[in-house]
Amino acid sequence: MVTTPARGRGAGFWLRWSWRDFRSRWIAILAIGVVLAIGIGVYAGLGSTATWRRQSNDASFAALAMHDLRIELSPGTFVDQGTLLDVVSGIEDGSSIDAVAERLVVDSQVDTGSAGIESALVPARLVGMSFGDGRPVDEVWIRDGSAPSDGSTSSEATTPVGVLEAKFADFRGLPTAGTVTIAGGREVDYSGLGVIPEDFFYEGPEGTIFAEGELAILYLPLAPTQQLADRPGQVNDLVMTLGDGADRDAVEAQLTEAVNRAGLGATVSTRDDAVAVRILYEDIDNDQRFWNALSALVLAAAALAAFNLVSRIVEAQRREIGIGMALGLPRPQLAIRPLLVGVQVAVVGTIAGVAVGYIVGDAFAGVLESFLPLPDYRTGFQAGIYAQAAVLGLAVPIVAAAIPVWRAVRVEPIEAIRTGHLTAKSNRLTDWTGRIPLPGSTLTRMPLRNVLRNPRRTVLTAVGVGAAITALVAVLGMLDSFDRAINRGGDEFTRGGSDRIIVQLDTFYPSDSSVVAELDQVADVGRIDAALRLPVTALAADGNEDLDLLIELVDLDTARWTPTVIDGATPTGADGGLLLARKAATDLGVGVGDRVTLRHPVRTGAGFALTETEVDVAGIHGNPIRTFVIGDVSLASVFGLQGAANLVHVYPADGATRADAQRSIFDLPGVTSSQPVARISEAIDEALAQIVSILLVAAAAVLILALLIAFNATRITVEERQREHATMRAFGLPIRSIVGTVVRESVVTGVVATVIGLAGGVVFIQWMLRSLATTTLPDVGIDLYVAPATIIVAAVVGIAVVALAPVLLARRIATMDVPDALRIME
Amino acid sequence: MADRVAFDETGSEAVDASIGHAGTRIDLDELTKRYQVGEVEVTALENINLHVDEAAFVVILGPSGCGKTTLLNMIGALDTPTSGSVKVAGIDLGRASSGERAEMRRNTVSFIFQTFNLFPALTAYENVRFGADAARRSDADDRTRMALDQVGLSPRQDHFPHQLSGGEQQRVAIARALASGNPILLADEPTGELDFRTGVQILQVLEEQARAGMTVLVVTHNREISRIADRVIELSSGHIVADGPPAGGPARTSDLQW
Ligand SMILES: Nc1ncnc2c1ncn2[C@@H]1O[C@H](COP(=O)(O)OP(=O)(O)OP(=O)(O)O)[C@@H](O)[C@H]1O
Ligand SMILES: [Mg+2]
Repeated sequence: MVTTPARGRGAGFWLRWSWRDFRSRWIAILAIGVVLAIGIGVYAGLGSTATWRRQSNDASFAALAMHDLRIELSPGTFVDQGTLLDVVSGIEDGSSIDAVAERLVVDSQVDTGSAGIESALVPARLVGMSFGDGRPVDEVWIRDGSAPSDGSTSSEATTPVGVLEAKFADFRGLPTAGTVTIAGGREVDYSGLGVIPEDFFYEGPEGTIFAEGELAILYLPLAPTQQLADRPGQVNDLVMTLGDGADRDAVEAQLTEAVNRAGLGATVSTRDDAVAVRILYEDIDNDQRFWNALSALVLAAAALAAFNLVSRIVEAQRREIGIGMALGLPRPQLAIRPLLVGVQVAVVGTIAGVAVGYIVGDAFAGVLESFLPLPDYRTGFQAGIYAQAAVLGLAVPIVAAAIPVWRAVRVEPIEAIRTGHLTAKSNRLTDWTGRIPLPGSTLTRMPLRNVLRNPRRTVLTAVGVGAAITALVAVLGMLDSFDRAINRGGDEFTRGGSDRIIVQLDTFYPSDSSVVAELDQVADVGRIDAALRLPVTALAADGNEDLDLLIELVDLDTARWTPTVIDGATPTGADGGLLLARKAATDLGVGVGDRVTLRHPVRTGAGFALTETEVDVAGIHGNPIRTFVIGDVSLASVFGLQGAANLVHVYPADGATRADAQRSIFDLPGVTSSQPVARISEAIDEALAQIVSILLVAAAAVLILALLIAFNATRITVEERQREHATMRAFGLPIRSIVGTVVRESVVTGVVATVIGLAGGVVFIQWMLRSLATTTLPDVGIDLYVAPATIIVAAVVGIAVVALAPVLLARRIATMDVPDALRIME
Repeated sequence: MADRVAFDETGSEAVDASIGHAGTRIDLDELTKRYQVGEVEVTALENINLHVDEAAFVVILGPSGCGKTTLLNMIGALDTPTSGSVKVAGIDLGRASSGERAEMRRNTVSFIFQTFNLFPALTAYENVRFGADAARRSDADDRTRMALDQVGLSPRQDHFPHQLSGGEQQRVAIARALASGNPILLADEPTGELDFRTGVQILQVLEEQARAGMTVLVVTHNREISRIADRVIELSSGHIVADGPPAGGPARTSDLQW
């Protein structure tokens, strides 16, 4: 009912009136507030991760006294303990060194059989270091269990005790303390799980993305490590921290000079050269770009929807504004009530948004912590980004309320009174669309008429729902695309049998050598294919970046495993060319039939030299991993390695398991590691799992958002049409038919929204994949793929849920006071 | 005249087919309706006894707020009494299920609302057609055109409600009720927005429905209109204060003036 203020009244009058408004639609206000809150929360929660991740990294590296400088002797060279310390203390700026420690770092292998749930043989690294004596540098963070007691600086009789790297243990499901066997059959106990700062992130044998669970690092006191490595009294590594104000570059230069003078083959590196430092900080920025885009999308969807919903509520007051104008009230006074709606939504949205943001941020941090255990996670409240989101949260509903008010006060009062809000102001378009002849009875026509009479509002609603669906499709479509890439990779690795094991040899052996032949003779091994794997650099066509790749040469005619060729042809013969990953071809700017220049090692007598060779791109293989290049074994001549192998594909014998085969080749001469391909695809899975888990968090938020928007939009429709529904009931139409008209009206909106959402989602994924391809995940070629299930989910949310929302509201239609609704003189 | 014949034919066909005599019967016994608004109890109708047993043109007369609309809502199965009984076309509305009540509204009674309640997104034609569609008339288009013709709005049939004057909107509402072809017509101030000439025309149309065998209940506060009724029921503060033929016997619509 229109309550017309007789005279200008005080603030109390307007507040009372607004309070009544609020009481009659607090549910709507709350619901819209929550829509907005999800947007603000996701934005603030995901948008603030860069800040706290950086803080966490800083704190974690600092807590364990990450080294500033490191000296590594060339592989295979060792010096007596103390030699490196002498070199270091002799430099000019020796006084600026804060802490320094010598270490022995050696490669080995670990069999987790005695400790692990799943027995496995993996490459290992032993780090002999000091535990808790002297000033700290590169300390171990004991995450679980305890540090080895210092008394374990053992004699040869006792089993050495160390700490096992935590991520490896997590991945392999190893207990907090236990025993592992290292190469040579020696057992090592570990009393806890932990990590040193330079191993917060490390590269696996197949490049960064395969690292998870593929390298066992054991931190041990120096003496037992020397014993295990048969290097008594020797070290090959030194780390140091510098005091405040030290000139790191100067010290680095002095160290380099000092080691050269001492005749040591060694490299000096800084903290910033460490993979962990580089990746942990680089990742933040790359990831943040990804999350920013995603959270901006969610925020946009929520803001658009909130905007639409608020303006619809306010538009319903259009007639009252007209009456107020007719009574000569000043415009600012007329704006108060509608604007208060905006303010109420803004307040609810902003407060709830902070809560949602906290939840999203916490979920993100939880996922991250499980993938990247750091000693000091600082997931505190990020005031800045929340303030940014809050400003938006406040502005959107208020602007949304202001626009319909402005539209109403701009026209002649009579226009506002006459047209109300359900009929748009007549114009040629709406008069035309309103008269499009439609089939069926008036009842079946009415929903479409309602839509056509007010296309602007229909489109606004559809865009609001559509934006939420866009976000949903974007998130789910990304998951689909990742998933397909993962599966394609997995399928590619496991072609010819999922029990294939890749065995690496310690150097190049003739394919007919005893080292290779012995592998074939093991009882648990059924078949072997010798292969070559070499690092190469593909020199890009102009403008593109050179790529570091791994080329694998197998006998494409006879080997059990051969790649899928998705484009071009399988290379044959010595100059048959090679197969690139699609991503590599794209990044290099070459296609099938083009030539690519490789910079690669070539055997010259006893050693290797680098040279460049032009090779044909014969085709594209099916593996999405960019690193892999595949060629026929006949190409070996290019590397001067004809008839040689440094890699063997091993297949277990009938009746033997993968683990049996692995175990029986563990101690064979020349074998450095064995890796089941099934584990490689698991590792790819794991590498993407982090993004996938966070995407799932986002998907949940977006799904809730889409449902809320759909439901709200319909609820407002039902409210707006209350009087019409009462009239229909007065004409004896059953509730079912009335709900039916609302359902049909919603379906029209839903279909438009779904189309908008699918199109928007696909565009967004495409854009995201393009940016991912260059920054966050350059190693994997991910093609746009939207699974049928995603389209179904989008349609279900966009059409089914939007259409079914009225059914939930059927009770409102059934229980409404018909005489009351009919009596009202608008 | 030709129009009228045509309407009579279709109109009586509908009436005969659906209900017959009992279909227009209305019985109200000791009907009371109270509204509770916070602490205040408003008695809209109290102990109303009213029986309409044959097709007739009945005028319910009374000042504003006396309970006229409330009474129509009771008869039209839109509202339930606080006490007493309402029987329409032999059905006890107090005992009827909501589905039976909806069916009653669909096929037995038609409303002309005091507040019109047109559908803003439908044209005049479509609004009227809605009445025929709701009552599931197979000849909906014919009925719609005829009803529009009877209220004199055929030329404006493609206009939307907001493009029509108040009186024109009211005539659309009347045509919508006529198009349904239901035997009981409940008209709440059907001439409230109309000038004398148009008002008389409309009353003529309503009267013809009564002659064709329908029961027409017209609510008004205009005593002049009651002169053409078969029966005038006067309401005051929720009570019937008079019930009988108009003073001086039924007049012809041509004798009216206001
Ligand atoms: N929902 C309601 N709540 C409270 N009181 C009501 C309600 N509906 C009607 N009334 C009261 O019941 C009484 C009768 O109302 P009704 O609408 O029947 O009057 P009326 O005779 O049709 O008046 P008018 O000629 O002005 O239309 C009035 O006093 C009115 O205030
Ligand atoms: Mg009334």
